[in-house]
Amino acid sequence: MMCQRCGVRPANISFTKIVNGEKSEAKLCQQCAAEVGEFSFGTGMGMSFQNFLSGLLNQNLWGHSLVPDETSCTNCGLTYNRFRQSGRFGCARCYDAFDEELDQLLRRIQAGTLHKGKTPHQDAQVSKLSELERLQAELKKAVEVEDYERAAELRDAIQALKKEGGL
Amino acid sequence: MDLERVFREHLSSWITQLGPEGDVVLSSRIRLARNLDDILFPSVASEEQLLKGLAMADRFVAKSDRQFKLIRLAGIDEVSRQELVEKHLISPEHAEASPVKGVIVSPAGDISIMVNEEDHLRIQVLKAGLDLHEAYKLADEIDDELAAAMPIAYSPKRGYLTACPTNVGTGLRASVMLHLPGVVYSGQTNQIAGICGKLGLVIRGLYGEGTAPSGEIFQVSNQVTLGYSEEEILTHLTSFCEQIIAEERRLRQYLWESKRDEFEDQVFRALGTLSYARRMSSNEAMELLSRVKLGIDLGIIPKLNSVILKELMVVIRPALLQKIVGQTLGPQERDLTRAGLIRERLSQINS
Repeated sequence: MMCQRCGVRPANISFTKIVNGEKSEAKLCQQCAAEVGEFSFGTGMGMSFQNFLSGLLNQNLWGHSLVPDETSCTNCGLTYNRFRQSGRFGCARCYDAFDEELDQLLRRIQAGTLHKGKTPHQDAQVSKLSELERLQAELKKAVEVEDYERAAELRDAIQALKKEGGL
Repeated sequence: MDLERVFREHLSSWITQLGPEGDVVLSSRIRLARNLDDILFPSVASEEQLLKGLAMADRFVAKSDRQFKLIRLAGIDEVSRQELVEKHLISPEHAEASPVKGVIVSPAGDISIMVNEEDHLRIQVLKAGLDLHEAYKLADEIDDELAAAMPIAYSPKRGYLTACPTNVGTGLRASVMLHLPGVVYSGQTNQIAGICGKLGLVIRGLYGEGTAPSGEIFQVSNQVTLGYSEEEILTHLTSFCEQIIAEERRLRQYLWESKRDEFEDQVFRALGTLSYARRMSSNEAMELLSRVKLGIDLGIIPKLNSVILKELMVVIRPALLQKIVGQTLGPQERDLTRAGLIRERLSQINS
């Protein structure tokens, strides 16, 4: 068997990658194995996950797609069909263009469909909104455990934030 | 040639220091994927658009007070590109002479920002040992500085928008490089891999014909980037690593106590070969360096410092080897030079 990376030299090393308990293997020659592997922070083969992903996109669990294949992103022109094949978006607007179908995909490859992490600083309005949600959740908790002192503090903080942000 | 000095000139501190839990953890890495809001992603954008992104990166470097330098991949030779890969400043995929590809690097070699890789910007920070939170803190600062200089693609719903849906949200990939000879020699590799899978982590290693991975070195990283906060991702991976470190130490101790003679023999044979061999492939060198490092970490070889082995594991790679001796070498010559360099470094310590 020939090396799956260079296709020139005979393969004598099997490269194993385990993703979520799913094992994938590549047969490589010594030289390619050395290039992709040892002490490397590289992305490894780059092959297997992309294949898994387009596999997931093409096999629809619900039997029908929410987004028609010919739907395309108005900004970059990428069609949903093309996205299914490549597993790559063309631009940031694609996320809106294929939004309906994305929940389904993200549920399968991610831990959720909504962002819970960092908010960029220049987007102050957004961060105030999440801060507001956080304070309101805390207020609800404080009331539940009858910690009225804390609840009063939180109520003031919420009002101040609303005033400041014009929310 | 004073090799200690020469190595240090070529290597950054995450390699020349051991860092927290340095007997098991080689290094920690944070990568943040970011994109420019108004330019198509690199795989589909025109060269003109991508050059616009590169120019933005150039202006960012000029204004930043971090003494960054922008390297254009098309402006350097093949060995220099490979050297950047071996120093983990760029991915292997990024090492091509494309006019749109660039990398911003810090003088200390601990920060890099790949420009026009799969995403427009890939911020990366490296630290010695187990230090994910510190590495993230720095990456987060760089991210803020970039966001102040250019429009970054972000949606409150999906977070940072990336070319591949596997990176969306935080865009955060945290990785830890672990030296796990105890796990490998006691045949626990598959168990560890299974645990990783159940915990949403990915483990990678190099396998040769069903035997041990090269140098018993593994990289563990988070699988998902959306649905958890950065803090949750970092804490999860760190606590997993703490457990694996404890397990690795326990296994090393067990092997050392139960098979003392064999163990000692293996470690000193490896040291002997490294000290006297005349030709050495990088695979053989990795195997032997791994064994000697284990010997040092267990206190069997008292004279040597573990960090020297960590340095050697990096400098024996083809491009760095050529940079250090300052000449172009074919594969045969590399094997000779590699053996010579290791011999010389080890003899400088013994004398």
